[in-house]
Amino acid sequence: MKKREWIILGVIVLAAAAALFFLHQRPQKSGYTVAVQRGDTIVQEFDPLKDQTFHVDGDVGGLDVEVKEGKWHVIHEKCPNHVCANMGWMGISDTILPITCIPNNIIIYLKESPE
Amino acid sequence: MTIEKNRRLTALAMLSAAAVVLSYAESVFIGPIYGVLRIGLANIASLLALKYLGRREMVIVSAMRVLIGNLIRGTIFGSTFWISAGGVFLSGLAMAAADYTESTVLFTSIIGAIAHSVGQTVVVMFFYRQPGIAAILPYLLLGSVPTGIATGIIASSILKRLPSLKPIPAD
Repeated sequence: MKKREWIILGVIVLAAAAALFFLHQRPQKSGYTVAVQRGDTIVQEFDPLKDQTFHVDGDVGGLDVEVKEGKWHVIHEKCPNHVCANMGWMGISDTILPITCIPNNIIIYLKESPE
Repeated sequence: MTIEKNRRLTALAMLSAAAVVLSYAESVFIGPIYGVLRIGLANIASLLALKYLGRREMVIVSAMRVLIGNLIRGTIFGSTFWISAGGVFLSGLAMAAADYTESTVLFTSIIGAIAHSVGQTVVVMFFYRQPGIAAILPYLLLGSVPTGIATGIIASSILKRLPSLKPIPAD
């Protein structure tokens, strides 16, 4: 590869690494709210520190969300690719990736964090 | 001249077919890594079309792969169709720009893979009106570099073995 190409790639990789670093700078404490959104409307909100399992209706049979010790993941979904279940556990301490289930039109994301 | 035209048309048809098959085979046999990151084997065909035939042909191969690929999977004009169309559109633009500036095959491939991730994320942000999904971008960007390198290496080794489109003189 040419020198110019190495520079462009280096800038992209550095920017992504810096963004990741800032995403992981979130300490774990109470006051978090996670929202489950179907289409445009929020159908359920939960506190990630309260353990529970609940069902959410979706376009292809819906899915179950299991919340345990500040982390949450999707189980029992009936999607063709199982992308949302394969994303595994998401937690306030290590990541803020939204869990996205395109076939069900559902997205699960961290809505509020303590200041 | 006619022979060269026919050869170009045949190559275009074969690359389009390869793109559709690769995209389908990847979705069936490999699937996304960690639920979100795809290798993008079909991008090999788009890259070959770009370097072997030209920018216009790359657009045709990419469009065929999205249209026919989604038609086969039964997801045409659904959410996955628009997400894949967004990714292919931006990756096509980026690869055409990289080709215009006479970049190497490897760099064109990496830039294409990165732009594909960005395009898909932008469509999901628009589709769900959910800017929070942008948090996934750094992961996708870092993941796109090795997948872009892999497809780029495959594409450049194929390019070395492809015959010239110009007809061999009879005498």
